[in-house]
Formats: sequence, C-alpha cells, structure tokens
Amino acid sequence: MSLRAVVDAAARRRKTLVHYAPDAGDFGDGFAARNADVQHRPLPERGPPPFVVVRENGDWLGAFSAADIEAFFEPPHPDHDSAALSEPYRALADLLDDTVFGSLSRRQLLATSREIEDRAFRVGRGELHAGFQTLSAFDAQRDTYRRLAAETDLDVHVYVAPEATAPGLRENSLTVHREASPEVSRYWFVAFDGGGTDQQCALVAEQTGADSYEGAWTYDPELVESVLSAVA
Amino acid sequence: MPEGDEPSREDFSADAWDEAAAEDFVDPDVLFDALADPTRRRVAQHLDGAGDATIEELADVVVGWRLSRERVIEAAERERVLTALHHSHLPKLADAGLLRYDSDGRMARAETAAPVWDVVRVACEYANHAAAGAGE
Repeated sequence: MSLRAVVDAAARRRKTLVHYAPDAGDFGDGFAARNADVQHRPLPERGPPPFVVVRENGDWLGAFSAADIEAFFEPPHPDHDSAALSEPYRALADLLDDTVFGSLSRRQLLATSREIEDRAFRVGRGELHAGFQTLSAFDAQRDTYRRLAAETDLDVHVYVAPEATAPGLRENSLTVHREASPEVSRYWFVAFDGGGTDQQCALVAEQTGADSYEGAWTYDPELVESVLSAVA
Repeated sequence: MPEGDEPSREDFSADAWDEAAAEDFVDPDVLFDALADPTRRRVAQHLDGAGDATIEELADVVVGWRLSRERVIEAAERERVLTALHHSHLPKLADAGLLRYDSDGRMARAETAAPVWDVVRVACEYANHAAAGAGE
C-alpha cells in the first residue's frame, strides 16, 4: 500500500456523528479537520441531555454525551495515550482513530510529529521511521533524532531525499537512508510501530502549497503497519 | 408547583376527561403495565414530543438516557435495546394505545384520547423527578 493509499484508506473510514439535541447550536463547528460528518436530529422537550451516536458506513459504534465529545475535540487535544485518560476519551480515541486533514500548516505538522516522537520516546523501544523531504529539514531535527536514538532502545530510521550537493550524512546511533524513493521526496511522514504496545501511530502529509499540507494521522494498527511497509 | 389555586397541571386537559367516551379509556391495567418500565416510558415520552420516529432512533433515545449513568454506551448494549424494543416494549406500547406502526416502518404516537396521554405525561414527569431526587 502506498502512502497515498494509506491517506485514502483513512478517508474512507470517515465517521458520522449523529447529534441528538433540541437545537443544532454550534456543535461540530470545531470538527472540520476531523474525519467525521455531523448530522443533527432534534430531540423534543424533556428528552435526555444532548448526546452523540458515532457511526461508520452504517454501523453503530458507540454513544457519548455531547459534552464529552466536545471536550474531546476541544484544543488542547487530550493526550491520547495518557494513563489517566478517562473512559469516554479512551473509547472516543479508539473510535476516532484517524484524522484526515485538508490543510495544516508546517507548524501544526511539527506539533503532530512531536507528539509521535514523544510517544516513541516514552515507550522507549520499537521502530521509529521519519522522512525528510530536504536535508535542511533533517538538519533542523537532527538533534531531536540523535537524542531519540541515544537515550532509548528505539531503532530509529531517518529517510532523507537525496540532494546532489548534500554532504555526507553519517550518524552513529541512527540509521540514515538516502534511497531515491518517490515516497520520501513527496511525503512528510513519521511512523512509530508501538514497540509491542498499543501506542502505534503515524502521520503522512503531502505539501499542497507554500505552507499547506494535506494528509492523515492515524492510531489504527493496520494503517500504521501500512505506512511502515510503504517506507521501510 | 402549578401556580394559583387550581390543582390541575397546566397541560392536564381536565375538560377532555369529561368529554371522553368510555371506549376512549384504555384498560388501566394494560396502560399502567405499559408505563411500569423505564424504557417504555422513555419511548412513550419521545413519541409524545416528536410525533414519530424509526425504531433505530427510539433505540438511540433510550441509549441517550442511559448516558446519564454511564459515560460510554457500546454497540452490544444498543443491540440489546433494539431487540427488547422490537420483541417486548413496542408491542406493549401498541397494546396500550400509545404507539402505532406506520406503513413506512416508522413508529408513531397513537391518536389515543387525551386522558391517556395525560397519564403518560404525569407518569413520566413523576419518574423523572423521582430519578433526579434519587441522584442527589
């Protein structure tokens, strides 16, 4: 599966959030970047407190209070892997395990990449693969990746798109790949296999403008595996 | 509490009770049995307010009420709700004159006489208050 196919597969798993409440209000306004559509169903007076049913391709997946859903989507995004994560957030994170985005800035992608790197650091073992479209992009992150490799048992692989003028890329603790893979030059990716835990996650993004990227990030084990096999 | 000296609720249609014919009154044992279950009260209350609904929507509403006690409802529980609605609750509500099956598969609020729906509203109101009191 190519990286493009991974993004498409994530997009196909789009969820529908059925919002039951007396009024639609502004529910869902903040979910634009999420891989979900919102439908409103009016509740009569004296009904239950507003709640949300999560569906995917017709299948009923779960129900949550509207307040819990809104808190889940509100920035800052609750830490997906925190041990203190309460039950509804864990269940929501499992259901809404893909995020497909149409337009994220470089700064936002760096923040998402950092979340994946932090997670890999905390687990401390397993494989972490990251692609850099230019040598300067790698240089900016070089210390971070050296530290990831040196201070953990992580097997860190870095992919740098080849540049004719690039000087030697020798690293002791991490493996640098300079294959002329079209995936590497086209996509920004970071993927962590979880190191035997359920902490796997991956980000794939393609640049579409000067400071605009589209793509997906996912916590789904199969999609993460697809990213790893596409690049490794 | 209702305002003024009049003891009846504002939406309690006292005149309709006097005007109703004998056959407008559903057998009280059947009616009270229909209302002797929280799921059936939720469904009756929803139909009274919404007019009609699919069985899927009714199951969602029943699940929605349970979210007051549990923070997550999973598919297996919702499936049990759906089965119980289909085999037990909806037929009992239909017997009590509270629900009719539309030709297009929707469940509709039955056009039963006003006294019957007065009893439904009072019963639901009573149960909601009792539940709220118990939670304090």
